[in-house]
Amino acid sequence: MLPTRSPWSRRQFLGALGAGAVGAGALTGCSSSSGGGGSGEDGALTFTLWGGDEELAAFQAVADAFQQQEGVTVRLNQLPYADVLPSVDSRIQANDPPDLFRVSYIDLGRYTSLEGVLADISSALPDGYADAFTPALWAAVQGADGTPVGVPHHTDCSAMVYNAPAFAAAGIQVPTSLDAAWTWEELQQVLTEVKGANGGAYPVAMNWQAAGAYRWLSFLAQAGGSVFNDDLTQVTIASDAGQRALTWTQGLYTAGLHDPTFLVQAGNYPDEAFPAGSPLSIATGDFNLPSLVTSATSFEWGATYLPRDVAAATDLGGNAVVVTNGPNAEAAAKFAVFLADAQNMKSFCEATTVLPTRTDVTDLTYAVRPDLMPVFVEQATTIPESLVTASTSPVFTQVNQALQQGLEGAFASGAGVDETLQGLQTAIEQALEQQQQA
Amino acid sequence: MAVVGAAALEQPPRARRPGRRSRRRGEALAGLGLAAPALAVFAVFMFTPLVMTAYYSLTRYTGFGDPRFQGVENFTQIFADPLFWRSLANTAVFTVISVPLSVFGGLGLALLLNRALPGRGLLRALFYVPVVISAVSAGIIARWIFNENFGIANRLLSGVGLPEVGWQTSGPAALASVIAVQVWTSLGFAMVVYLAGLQGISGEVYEAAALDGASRWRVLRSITWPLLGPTTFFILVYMVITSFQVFDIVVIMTGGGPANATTFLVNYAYDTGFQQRRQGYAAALGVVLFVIVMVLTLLQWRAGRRREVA
Repeated sequence: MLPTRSPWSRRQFLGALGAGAVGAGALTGCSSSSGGGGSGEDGALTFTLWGGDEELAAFQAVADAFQQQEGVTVRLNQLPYADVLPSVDSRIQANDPPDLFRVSYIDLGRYTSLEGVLADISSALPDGYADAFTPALWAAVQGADGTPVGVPHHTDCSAMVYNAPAFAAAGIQVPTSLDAAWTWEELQQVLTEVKGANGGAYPVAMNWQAAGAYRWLSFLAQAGGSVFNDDLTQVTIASDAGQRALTWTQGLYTAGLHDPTFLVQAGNYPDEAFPAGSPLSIATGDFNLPSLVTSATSFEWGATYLPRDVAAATDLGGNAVVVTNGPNAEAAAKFAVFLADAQNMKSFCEATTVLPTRTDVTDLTYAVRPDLMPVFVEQATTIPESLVTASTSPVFTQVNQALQQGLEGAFASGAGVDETLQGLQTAIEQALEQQQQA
Repeated sequence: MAVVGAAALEQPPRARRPGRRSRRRGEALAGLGLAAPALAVFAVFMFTPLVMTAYYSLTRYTGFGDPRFQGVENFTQIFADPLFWRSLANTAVFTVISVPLSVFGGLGLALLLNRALPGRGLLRALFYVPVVISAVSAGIIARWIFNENFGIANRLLSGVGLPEVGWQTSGPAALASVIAVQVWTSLGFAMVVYLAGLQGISGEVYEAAALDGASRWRVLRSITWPLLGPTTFFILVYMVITSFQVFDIVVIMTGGGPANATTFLVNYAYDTGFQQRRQGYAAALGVVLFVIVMVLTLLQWRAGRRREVA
């Protein structure tokens, strides 16, 4: 068999390959160095964040206004929520961090405790700027040396959203003020009646899935407990309050009231299933209202308060925006300050149904379900100081990880309350010890 | 012949060597040049990370600052870590069930679709579609299929009078659902590779078998299966490696639950490294995973060679 002749000789092929390589190199040279989301050569700032449609539009509006005022472009580098921190970590390790990034309060501590990673933005702050913020949240954005490294952009919290016809079928009147919020015993009775009146459909699912495991701490706080003592030196989760909170929340599953498909380790979330009619109520954050408005259209739904035990309490949600230590830190700090000024914070919160962190931002007109937002605004007054301190501590990521494992064991496998609390106590103590050694 | 032979002997042997040598050297350089881009890619994205992972596995490292060398401490902790053993057991069960199902399922489909059938091309494409859709999409689809409240899986079961299954609340059922999706997404790949293997077997062998009166089963057992040995070896190695690396469909479908029933080694390493920032420990988990996959591959390779020798 005769060998077929190649249309190209080897020399021609290698020559073409070389030319191709040179061409590719030239094209690479033409491309912007910000291709991976890095700082642009034109002085543009990169801002790594996640967000829903409403949030991205609101961020873009602020970026556009900043461009007009300061002449500096801010490029939004949008990623899925789960990818933001791994991406930021990789880029910090590669010495190519974004100029700014969005970070939840529960993850903030793992960055503020790192030396030299975040920039001191003190010089960009106008006089009295810090005084306008809720003190605990402003304290959360202080670096290891006590200097501000970003701004507390907004907060949010959980309350109950319920299927109105399903609750009406059981003749339930929901509380309309925080003082009238159901006690644990009352809520359990209500849920039993709702289940009975709706053909056995699951009446509730809480939002403690995956990284949301820390939201269980609201129930711990309602029982009068906390993860740490005041100065974060002692772990106090294995307590009478812890036992009471875990017994009650585990009881929601064993009594058949909590939808068992929403454990802690779950691929799906209650707010995705609620619009389909089951479960009949969910604990959810105010930031979910825009998506519920578009998805839960086949029935009426309302909002009421989380239950209370010895106290009312909810979780600390929300996010800060921090500035990294890099060549654009000065301009990035200006943008952070601009983002969280009174006017921009008000516009952002109104558009995205979240709560301001400034005490001088009042009389908000929310774009979505303004009738329900007062419930969340009032519920937010019950975020305990101890929870804010714990949530923003450097060790909270490990606390949340321990909660994911411990609560899953209690809810899915029926692990004992004492055994679970002891496991949590030990795991958090170890994390605290490691943090102190680091 | 003798004259030619003598002439050849008279030719000074060194006279032709430089030409051959330079040609060989040129070919070697050209080969090296052509392989260089691939080697560079492997060096940067494979060998260097492998070496760095081995180094980090001996350190305490959060990803920031300098790694702190601590010898085999991470490995000591791993072997005393119940969650590691749980994720290893889950991964082993997952592999032991999903790989044979994918291999034999793929072989069955290939045998079926290697014949003249109406709509054969369409059927082949349909079985291959799950391979080319993203694992995230497959995971989202599967999450709704196996949803206990709304999913079609339980509706079908109850439709035929069978009890509903706790796909999200029972550990074994959740693992079974992940295995089902893995098999669904890998069946088409095994089918295509087996189809290629089947088309490489000469028709004459089958004609000879038919003349000898061999039954279909005998032909499959004594001709097709042995001649597909190299194909099966490739598929087995590939499937075992991909099974040990299963990650995305689990994150989307079950989040590792319920109660760690679907937590696999890679998920555990990812959580440890990127959520808890224990990158030294995660690197040690990666090294353990690497050793396991390497040992399994070597065992399969040796088994394959022994069969060829026999």
